[in-house]
Amino acid sequence: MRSTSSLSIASLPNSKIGKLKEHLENLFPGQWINSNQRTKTLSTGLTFIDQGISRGLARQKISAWVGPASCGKTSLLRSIISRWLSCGFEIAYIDTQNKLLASNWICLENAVDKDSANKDTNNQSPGKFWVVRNLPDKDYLWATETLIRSRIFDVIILDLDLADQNKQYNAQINWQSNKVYSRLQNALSKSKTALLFITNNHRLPNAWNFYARLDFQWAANIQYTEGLHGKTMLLPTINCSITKDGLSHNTEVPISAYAANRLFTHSPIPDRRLAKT
Amino acid sequence: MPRIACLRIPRFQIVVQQKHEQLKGKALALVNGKLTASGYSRARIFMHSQEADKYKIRNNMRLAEAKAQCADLILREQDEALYKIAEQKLVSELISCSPKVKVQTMGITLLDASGLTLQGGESQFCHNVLKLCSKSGYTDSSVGIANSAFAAIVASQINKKRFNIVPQKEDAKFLAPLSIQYLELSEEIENTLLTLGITTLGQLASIPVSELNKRFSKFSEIIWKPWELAQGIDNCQPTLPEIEKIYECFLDLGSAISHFSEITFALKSMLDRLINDLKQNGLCAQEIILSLYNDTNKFDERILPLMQSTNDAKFLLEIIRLSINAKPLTREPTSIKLIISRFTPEKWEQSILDKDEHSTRPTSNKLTQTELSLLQRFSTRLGKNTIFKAQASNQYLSENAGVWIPMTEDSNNSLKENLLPLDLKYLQEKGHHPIASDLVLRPTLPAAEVLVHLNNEKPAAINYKRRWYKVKSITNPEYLSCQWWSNAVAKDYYKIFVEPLAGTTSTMQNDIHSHNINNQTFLMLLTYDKLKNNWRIEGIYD
Repeated sequence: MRSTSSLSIASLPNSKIGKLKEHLENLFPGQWINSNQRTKTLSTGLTFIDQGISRGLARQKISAWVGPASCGKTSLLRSIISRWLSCGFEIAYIDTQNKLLASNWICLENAVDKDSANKDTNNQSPGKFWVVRNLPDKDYLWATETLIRSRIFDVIILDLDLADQNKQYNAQINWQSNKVYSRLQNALSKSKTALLFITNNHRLPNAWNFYARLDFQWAANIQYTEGLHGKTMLLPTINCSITKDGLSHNTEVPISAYAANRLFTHSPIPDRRLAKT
Repeated sequence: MPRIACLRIPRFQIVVQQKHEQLKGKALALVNGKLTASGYSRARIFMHSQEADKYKIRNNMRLAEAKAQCADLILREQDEALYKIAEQKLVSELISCSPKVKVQTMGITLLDASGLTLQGGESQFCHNVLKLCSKSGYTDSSVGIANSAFAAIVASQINKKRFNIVPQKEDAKFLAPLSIQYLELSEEIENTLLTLGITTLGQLASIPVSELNKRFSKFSEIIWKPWELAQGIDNCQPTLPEIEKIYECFLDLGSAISHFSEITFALKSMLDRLINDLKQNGLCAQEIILSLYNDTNKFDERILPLMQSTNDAKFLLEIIRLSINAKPLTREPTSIKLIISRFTPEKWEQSILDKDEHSTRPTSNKLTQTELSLLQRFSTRLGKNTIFKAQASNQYLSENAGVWIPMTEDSNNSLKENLLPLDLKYLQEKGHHPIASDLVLRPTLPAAEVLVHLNNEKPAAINYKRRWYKVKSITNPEYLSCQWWSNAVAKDYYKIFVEPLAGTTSTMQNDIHSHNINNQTFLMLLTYDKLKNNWRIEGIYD
């Protein structure tokens, strides 16, 4: 005879449920995170970031994601953002190049709704995703600082094209200077925000002390999604290199995307016969 | 006998809205309900512009029908406060023509036109009023003059003349041949009158009092007023306009001030005084106007609308400071004028004490105080269109399937020209998840034309920014053909994974650096336009 024992979670006190969730979060990162819990780092749901040397994305610190144009960093970031939003985190994205397509960033908070773990445990409304665009070049720093000081956002993403020498902001704001770093770090120290610095060039400010730096590049091997008449989607793997406190770790990240469906926005024609029957 | 003039401004709300948002010449419609971002609500068209008339937009039309008639129709909710301010401004200007001015309804204003013999007569008076209206931007206005207000109102809308003067004591004669529709009776009474063969105002006026009481005993109180109006009797008279309290402060600094910090104290004390005044009257500031003078010359005026009404002087001072930081002063001011141009009654909210410990966040999409304050800072310093949220739009092309909606806009007014909102609830009920699929595309603006080497009718290599790239991998084309009724599109979409072709390095090294191209691989969106017969790189997946 096999004896089974069951544990009723409802009967446990709140403090114990919290501890249980924390324990499960360590086992399954990104599944049990809650925006109301004040942790030092934010889980991304990606094991190599959360359990690797960087231990997630640190609050009150500046992290850097570096990679050339077309290396998969924004796609990876979007999947993390959708997870954060469904967990109730507030996110701001400063798009200095005005190159984000709105159609790529809609309904992100619903993206992981299928994930029953999150849906059942996090009984809260999804977070907000704000995108800052059309900024005058000289105001990037002011905008970042103001967003941090507002203490609204858990994550602020500063997407900056440091490679473009022609850009005015390189002349108006010296991103290499310690002053800029100090201003941002000073604002961060009084907030709950994690600042993520995304750039497409390896010439990062030398004087800046990043919490962790992630370098991205497409890997050689490519996955395909086969359709009826051949390949319908290309999904190259991303090579990611994490550097923190002199330590480094290289890993490959496979991308899984939903099947491309350009016409997803069209609502199906309602079948009124069903309602009558 | 008094003489009364009626100034009629057709589509007054539309004209004010067009002036306010600089939408002159565009198809605009006001709705008599709420506009929601999620889809067309039950609201209907309340009033529309002349331009919308060309697309056969009619009042009381459903929004979906109106959008079907004119895809570019701009929809707005009614802004009563805005119309009220415009109305008050007009009244204050009309006082120069006549001391007694009274607003009858929106767009209809009564003026006292008595005793004009020595001032050029009634025609001159009409000219003066119309000239003043044209100056204020109401070019389509008309004037009617008569002994009674009703006759003047009717006179202002017949014959399509700019002005219409009814001779002294001839109101009844003027009204007699006109239809009873001018009385704006209820449908029931109008039908009763028409059944009795009473079609004109003269026929209604000719009914003796005894007969009227006998026949209309059921509506005796309701029919008396229209009967009097048909006789040319109307007690409505223009009166002296009520003086509205103006919240403004003027300070002469004595000398030219070169730096903003030197006037901070002065501005703070001005704001404190104005805010105290507002508080005493239970009001809250909604818009402030800062005017700066050099001697008597006004060289700068800043209209600072507030996203949420406030009585916090410190916050208002910060808004002024942000505005001056964003657009520094061109000259040194010697005096300052501060006006609270818009205000609302102060609101008091009851706080929820038995709040559930888990529901710390408001469940609705309503912005919190902190968020509003942040948006206000961005809006004042950088303009309205800086912070956005992505909104799904029911368009055919993927690049148009989403629209950036500014957060600073009222969420109720987010139905814009090109946004066709999705019914997300309906989609979710049907098991559809409108989740952004695929990798993130960074579009190249404008799309770059490329030279393509074909192998078996499939791209094998491309020349992009003066460099050849070998296509390592390519998807089957996704063919999209649509919008034949407006801007026809017929395109093949390929996703290509490319790497620089060995041995064909660019001849211009500098060019490579300037375009940030090195020996890396790219995942791109390549399109073939069948109508224009050209190949383009529309964007790079990142």
